Amino acid sequence: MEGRPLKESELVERAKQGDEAAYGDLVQAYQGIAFRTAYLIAGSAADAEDAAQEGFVKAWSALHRFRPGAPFRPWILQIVANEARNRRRAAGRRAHLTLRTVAATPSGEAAPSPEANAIGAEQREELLAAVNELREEDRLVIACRYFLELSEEETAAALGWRRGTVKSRLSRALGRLREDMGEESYA
Amino acid sequence: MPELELALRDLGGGLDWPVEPELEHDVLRRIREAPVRRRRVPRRAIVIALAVLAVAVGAVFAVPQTRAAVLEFFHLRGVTIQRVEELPTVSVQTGLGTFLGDPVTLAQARERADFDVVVPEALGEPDEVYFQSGPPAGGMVSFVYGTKDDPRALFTEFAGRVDEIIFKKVAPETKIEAVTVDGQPGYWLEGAHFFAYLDRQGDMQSEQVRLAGNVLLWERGTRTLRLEADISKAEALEIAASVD
Repeated sequence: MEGRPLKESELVERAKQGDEAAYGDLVQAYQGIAFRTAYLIAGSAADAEDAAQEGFVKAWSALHRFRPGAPFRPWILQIVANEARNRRRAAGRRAHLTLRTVAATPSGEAAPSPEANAIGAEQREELLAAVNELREEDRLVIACRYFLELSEEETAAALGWRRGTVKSRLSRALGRLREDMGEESYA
Repeated sequence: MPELELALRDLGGGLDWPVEPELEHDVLRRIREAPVRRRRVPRRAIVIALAVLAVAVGAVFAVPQTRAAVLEFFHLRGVTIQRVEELPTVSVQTGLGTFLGDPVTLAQARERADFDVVVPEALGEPDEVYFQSGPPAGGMVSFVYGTKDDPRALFTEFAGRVDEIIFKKVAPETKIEAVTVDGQPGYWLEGAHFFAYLDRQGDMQSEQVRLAGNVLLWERGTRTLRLEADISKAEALEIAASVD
């Protein structure tokens, strides 16, 4: 976008009037998070892309139903996640999350940043393996809240649950993860 | 934030996500190709609508779209028909897809369903039989006449319960007529409509719908029966009356 960046609400308002460029900006802004959310749910990159594209096309047709002033992100995530679920159902797959390989880091030392140092590489692998092993709804709620950093409201929209359900399932999922990782690791 | 949550957040930053696709171009191309925002509902020679299910009635109202502009309600056991101002946009699918459930024999369907499976005499033995273990509770049996990819008629039965609801939305122009089959209530629907349903999470699944032609829905004991085919009301009622 050139000049003063338009606020999201202005983009939505313009898109509602039929301004395709404004809608294009919204697609740009949210395609990343929409795609990753769809990937978690659908389990494959191809299905996720398909779901995200279909979701954005449907959302355009449904813009007249969008409540003015509401945040766009949970709304689009809900639509895209629905598409993703429909694609997953047939295949019964789940996204297998893996860690980026950090080639430049010599083993056991000189991690790139203090944050990355929070836990060691081995522990990360272990933790991710434990997350991947969780039952689907536990894995999804953890991935939405911590990996995609969705808010509670956005998680609820994406997973089609109530907010209270997100809260309770998250706490249950964390409890299971603590058990799986061994009590002493993350007491 | 407790240690585990910090560790998870940290982990999230190191994940190897697939490359993010560039969607803007394709999305804009598709919306330009469809100049009318509301896709028209095509009439097809044979169209099949069917629904899977809903959980609790309360959950329906958790889904914002369903609150909008409901003009009328019609109720049958396990099914609610809503007349709405505008049908949601749905993707058109041909054939019946995968959601009728597992292909089974008639004998297997009888064994697995929690209710007595009936066959409409006027249609005879179905060409294909499917069973879905639920929702709805008790399972759902579908008979396809013709083939799944090219169905001539679809007959579905399930033990409808009042706390499990199939939502069927119909457009303002759809004809809804109350009928009686063997002394029990039913509805005859002609024109644009489709099914939406809530899955177990209370999540609206409006995508898995079939655009439908004419449908007869009726109760028989504790069951709800549904016949869909490109036939007249008189023919549908005749078939319905032949259910033993």
